[in-house]
Amino acid sequence: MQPGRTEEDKLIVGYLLGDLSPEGKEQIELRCITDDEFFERILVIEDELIDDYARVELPPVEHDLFERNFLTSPERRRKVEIAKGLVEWACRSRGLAAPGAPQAAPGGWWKSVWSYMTVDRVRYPRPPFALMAATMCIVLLGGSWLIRQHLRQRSRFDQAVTEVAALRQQAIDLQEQVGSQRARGDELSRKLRERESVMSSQQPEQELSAQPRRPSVETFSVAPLVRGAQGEPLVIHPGTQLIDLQVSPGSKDRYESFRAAIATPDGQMVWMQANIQPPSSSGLKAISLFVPADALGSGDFILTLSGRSPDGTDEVVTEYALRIVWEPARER
Amino acid sequence: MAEEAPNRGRARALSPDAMNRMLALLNEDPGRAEQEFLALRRKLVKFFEWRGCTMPEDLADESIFRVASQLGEGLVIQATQPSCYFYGVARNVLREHWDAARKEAVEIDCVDQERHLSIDPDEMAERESERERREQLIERIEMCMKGMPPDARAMLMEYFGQTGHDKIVARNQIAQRMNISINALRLRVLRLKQDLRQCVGACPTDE
Repeated sequence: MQPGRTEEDKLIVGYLLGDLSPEGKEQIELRCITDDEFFERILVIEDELIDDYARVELPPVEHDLFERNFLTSPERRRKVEIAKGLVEWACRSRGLAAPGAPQAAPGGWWKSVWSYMTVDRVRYPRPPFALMAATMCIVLLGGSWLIRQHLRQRSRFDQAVTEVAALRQQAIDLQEQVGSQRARGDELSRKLRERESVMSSQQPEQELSAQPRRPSVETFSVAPLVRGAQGEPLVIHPGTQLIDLQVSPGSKDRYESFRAAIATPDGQMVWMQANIQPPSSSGLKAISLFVPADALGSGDFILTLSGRSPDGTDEVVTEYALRIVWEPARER
Repeated sequence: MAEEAPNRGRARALSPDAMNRMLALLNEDPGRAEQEFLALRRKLVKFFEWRGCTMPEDLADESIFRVASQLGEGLVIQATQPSCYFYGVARNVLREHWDAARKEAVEIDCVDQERHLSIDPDEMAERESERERREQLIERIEMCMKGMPPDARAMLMEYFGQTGHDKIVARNQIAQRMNISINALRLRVLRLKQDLRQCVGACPTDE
């Protein structure tokens, strides 16, 4: 009956189920009393409502209204009984199960639940609700505990995997650093040999033999300038030809290249190098600035490191205070 | 709650003159007037039933009695559709009925609650025998069906032996086969069910 209901049918259903305004009721009743066809239509719809209720096919709201407002007289209850009997007779005659009639419990794990819900309550009363509720609580709590445990284990596993990957990456970085340091050492050795060969050709043999053997390259790691503070002096030994100043530009990724300049405190530039590549390519965090030792005498200097952005602009990255002290023996 | 129709139990006397005036109001032709009277009474019975009254026939008769009495006293009804006048009177009867029922409900509410036990041993016993009664009912339906013409029986079997969407399909097929509209089919089924109810109600019971 419900599919294809017209608006008027819906009004009639509302009227029969007591779900219509007083004005709506009056309109239907007046039409019903003067229009025989309309009256017959209400009778048909009323009968079909009874059939649908008997078949358990009414929507929940109408089902409730039917029980509350329609099943108010023994006569109507009798009609419903007959309708149920008629449906069951028709279904039995056709070898079908009648709707609302006891059904065979379906198979599967929910068979027992189905049986519990559909069993004859008068003959087989339900077990106490508290027992059922307690069982359900145990099942739910146990299930949630297992799920929580599983998620915790999964989280630990993921964390371990992440840590292993990080360690592996660190090992790779270290290997790269070692390689680049070795390459840099080789390069320095080569430069030193060249310089030594030049010097040996210029200096008398006796003078060379009188000088103590000193490292030709002095390496220093310098820290950025802190206002009001003065770092340790960089002591240069006699015979040093190159000073390796290692600086660490913090935000190296922002710059395509760097520029280093050393000037006296009064602004006189004594050394400068441009187009210094960022250290990322070599895996190092510091930049090595090879400054000819003879460019720096004893005294204070300021090393300025500037970065060049991709858009071509230069900006000062950091400044370093340098105090150079030559050992007296070689003071020039 | 016992239903008390307005003026119920009061001595009724409707003169033949009042009755004749009422029939003449419905139709000048006495033969048709009687048919219209029966149809009108049926409608009034349904009106009270749809309004939830448990004894609709008594209230319908009360309404008819009032109109006929007024006509017997010389009332002239000018309405183009006299049934509307009956409807108006029926509404008054309904209102009085509900007023009386409300008063009665208040009186019942005053009764000691302990006398209204919610657990009825008889009801429990009745539930026990519900299945057996249902089986008896189906037996009666079976018996009444055998008294019906075979095509009507087959149609009812097909009409009621389906659910959901299959039910709609089956009804369309039946209507097509019988070459009638769906509404005509619904009306025919209504008539057959009315006959069936009458038959089932008339069957001897084992209870």
